[in-house]
Amino acid sequence: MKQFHLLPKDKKKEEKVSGWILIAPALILLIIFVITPLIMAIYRSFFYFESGPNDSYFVGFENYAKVFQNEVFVKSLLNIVIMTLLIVAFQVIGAFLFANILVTMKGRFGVFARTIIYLPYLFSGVIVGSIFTLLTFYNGGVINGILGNIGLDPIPFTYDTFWAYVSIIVPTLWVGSGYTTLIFYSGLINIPKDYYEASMVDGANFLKRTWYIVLPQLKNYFVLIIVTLVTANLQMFEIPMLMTNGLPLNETMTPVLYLIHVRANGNVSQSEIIASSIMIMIFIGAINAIVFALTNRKEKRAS
Amino acid sequence: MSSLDLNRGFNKKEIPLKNKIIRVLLYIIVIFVLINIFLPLFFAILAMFKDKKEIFSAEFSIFPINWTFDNFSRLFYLEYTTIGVNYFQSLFVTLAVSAISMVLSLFINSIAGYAFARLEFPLKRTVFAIVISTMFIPGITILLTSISVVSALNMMNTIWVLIIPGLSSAYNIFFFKQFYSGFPKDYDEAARVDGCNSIEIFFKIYVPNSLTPMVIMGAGTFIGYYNSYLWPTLTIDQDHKGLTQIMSLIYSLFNDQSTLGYGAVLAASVIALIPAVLVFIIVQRYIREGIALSGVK
Amino acid sequence: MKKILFGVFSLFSLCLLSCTPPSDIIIDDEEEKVEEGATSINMWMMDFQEWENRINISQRKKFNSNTNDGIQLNQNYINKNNFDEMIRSAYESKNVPDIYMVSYGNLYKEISSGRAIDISGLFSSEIWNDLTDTAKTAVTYDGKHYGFPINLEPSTILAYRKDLLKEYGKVEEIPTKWADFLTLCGTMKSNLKSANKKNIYPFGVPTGVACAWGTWGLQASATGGLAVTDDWSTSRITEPGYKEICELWSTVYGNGYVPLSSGEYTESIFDVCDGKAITTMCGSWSFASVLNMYPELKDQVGFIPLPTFDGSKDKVTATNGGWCYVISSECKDKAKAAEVIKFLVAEDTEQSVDYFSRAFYSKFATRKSVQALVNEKASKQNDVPKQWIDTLNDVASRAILEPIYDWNISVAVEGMFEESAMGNGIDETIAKCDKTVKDIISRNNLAGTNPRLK
Repeated sequence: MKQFHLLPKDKKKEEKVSGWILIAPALILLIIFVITPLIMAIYRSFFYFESGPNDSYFVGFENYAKVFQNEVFVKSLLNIVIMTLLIVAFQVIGAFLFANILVTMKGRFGVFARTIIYLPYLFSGVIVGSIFTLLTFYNGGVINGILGNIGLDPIPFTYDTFWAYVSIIVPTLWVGSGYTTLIFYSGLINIPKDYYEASMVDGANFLKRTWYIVLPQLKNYFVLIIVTLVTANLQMFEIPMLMTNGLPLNETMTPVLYLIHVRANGNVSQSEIIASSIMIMIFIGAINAIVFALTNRKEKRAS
Repeated sequence: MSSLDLNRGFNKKEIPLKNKIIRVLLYIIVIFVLINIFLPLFFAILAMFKDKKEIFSAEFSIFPINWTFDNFSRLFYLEYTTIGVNYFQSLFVTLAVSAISMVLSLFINSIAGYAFARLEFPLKRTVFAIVISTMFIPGITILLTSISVVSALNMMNTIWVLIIPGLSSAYNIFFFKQFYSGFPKDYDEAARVDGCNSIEIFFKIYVPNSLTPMVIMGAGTFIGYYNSYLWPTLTIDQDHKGLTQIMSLIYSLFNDQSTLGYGAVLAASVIALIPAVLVFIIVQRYIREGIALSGVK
Repeated sequence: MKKILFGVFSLFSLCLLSCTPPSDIIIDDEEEKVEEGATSINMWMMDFQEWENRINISQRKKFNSNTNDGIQLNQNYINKNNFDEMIRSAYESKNVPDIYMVSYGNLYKEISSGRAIDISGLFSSEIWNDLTDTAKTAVTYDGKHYGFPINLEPSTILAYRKDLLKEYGKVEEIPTKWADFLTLCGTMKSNLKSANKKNIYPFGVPTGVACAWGTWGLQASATGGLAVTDDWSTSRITEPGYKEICELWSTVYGNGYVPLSSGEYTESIFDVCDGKAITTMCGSWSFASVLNMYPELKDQVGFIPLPTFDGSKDKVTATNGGWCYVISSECKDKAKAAEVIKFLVAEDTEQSVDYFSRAFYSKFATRKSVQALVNEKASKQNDVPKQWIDTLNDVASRAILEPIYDWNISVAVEGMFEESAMGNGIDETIAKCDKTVKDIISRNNLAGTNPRLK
């Protein structure tokens, strides 16, 4: 490693130089491919333009004003909040309970179960969507095929708002829940066993034990999981794109899907799309701030 | 099976479940969940062997009536349709892009994580705050302007547009920083005495001891690149079919069902899952440790 | 577990090895000539069904076989769901095609954004005068021509399976009045039920986005116009015809005559071919879909104009959709791009006649000279049933052009139909839609801006 001998010999001076050398590649890439585009996007959101040869012109906040007049986009924001709430609630509660079950499993079966549950986490939304579409297709799909064979009415997955939500939420849970379970599992087994033994002696049941010992111990796990899930799910579009594509009546339209789904936003100008996408960023930031605020308040109450 | 070591925490003793009925019930729940994980894949794999007209036919049966391999052979002849992409070439190129990106990304992010964890240099806190804040910028916000940037750099329709823009990741840097912060400092001192500078220390001492974070972050980056759909679709045009990424290809098959039928979509999807499953097999020994590292504590 | 996975993997490999080319993949071994040092002209085509792409590809190969014209033609087939996004990112990355395909309904958007340029001067006045009036109107704004029309396709006709209609409907003819048609649907539904055929539906209608454009013809037939007045000054949603359509939608959905959700409208004919629907609304391109993919059903499938509410046979029942080529503002060599268009559609008659006959006369020619030749050829052939061609001519002769008003208006109308389908109160949904349309008009100052009236 002779090349590094040009660095200063003094430890403090050397750290200053090598520190910058080491962060330089990552920092330069972030500046070029994330920060520059962001600044460009913010700058552009104050101009009217449409991709093409025509010049853009300054309009101030007009693009942002239009964003809120766009009923479909506003609806999509509302939809994604509902979807995210449902997905996060189901996933966190389900995964936590399932992790509690998994800790009681011993031997090879337990190992197998803990290993296999997170397999779908590695699958792409496009593939998951195409596999689940096979299940939910109205006339001839697997679920309705089975229902039909036993003489029941088919389920209208893209016609009924409830079922459209189901057909988006279930695949999303299928993908993510296993990994969340594993995180909770790793939290549960790291709780010092003295705590448990004490509670066993007291004769505390599962609910009491969970409420007084496990939840306070796993607080950080909950915060991390909720923040990650909320940020990820607010941006989801692949599964909705393949499963329902916004049907019925844009009830399952998500903001990101709306912005890339051109047949839905056909008449929206490019500058308005950029303004909308900046609104999504602000929206995600705000929701994360709310999540942090809520969990911090809980923390105070718990301590 | 050291990674799935059960002898930590209270687990050595397990929760005493004296009630046998509850025990059986819990096993049933677990088995039910596991079945549900496999069920969609099971149906997809069966439907792959169905005839084009049978797959959504009015008369439903779970198992194919006429078993056929046509859906696979369609993939072999995909380049003769308007899609014009060789499926297996696309799969290979995607894997290559993902692998190259994984190596570069591990290098770039681990050195940055190390610098943030262990070195003192001017503006460190400010820079770190900026890096972390990029984590909260949604991809859609910078999608269109990123295309302007990469085209200004003449990267459109090259392999670099697929690899470079996503290399540096705030999440990965944060993860490596967490890991290296918990690394024992004693070795550093010893190496310093031997005359090593901080960069040498990193490569001699830190890298050989960071197998777990490398595997976990490497797998995450690999899968992230492999699964990405929107960026490759918009940056690789149809004149460069050799670079078409697998998820874009599957989505165009999905949209073009009238030609090849849904069976071909499923066959393409299920084959494209194999790399993900292989990654899973490699990673599963490290995943628990990885979770413990992921900054929960 | 590893053993199992290994087993699965090797099973897969075995499957893959045993492959032979399936019947639906035609290996096109016609070589494409490459002209050295020629100007390359890039075209973006819509990715239609495979048979249609094949016609376009063979035309391109024919064009490239001339290696002395100094032009090398490249084509990209773009997925319809990505097309606008791709055009936008193409402008963003300065990688714009020279020629691309636009539907008549979207042409005005391309013109107002400046992406499609005025091409009047690139073609001689004989060429422009040869265009049929409909086609010319579709591409002309302010007296200038912005695109060269390729074809016209009536977007709504009714397809039916003769054998299934006889078996479950006990009739051979489809009634011309919606009320009678609904009675027929009722008969079919009850017969299907008693035969325990739950997965077969009497009828099919466009859903989702397709319901926004696929019902324009129906709207015109019911109300004598579209959602806004011709000068775009106010909404026409309160016309009684709209209520009739809402009631129609509510009946066909409420009684289970149509599946509660279905696939793409452009492919609805396959439901009829697969025996999942007895009748369906579909576009004229379905002729060619049947003849290409289900040739054995040629005599079993019939096409007729859509029923009307009063049963009269001389009402508009469809819009003439279709596609035109536009030259983009970034095209470097406009004269050469025009050469390509001339070869494909504008000048070379033989090429165009070939196109329409290979599309099984499912489209309408845009040039008078071609139309005459196509009609002559059509009357002499036996590939396409005469009833189909008669239907096409009948519908197309009365069809109107696709409207170019704000797309959100059509989406609002779609919403109105689909809400009625879900059983919401029809009067409320009409009032709601009326308000939405008026809002769109006032917010965008649309009144009096219809460029077709200028």
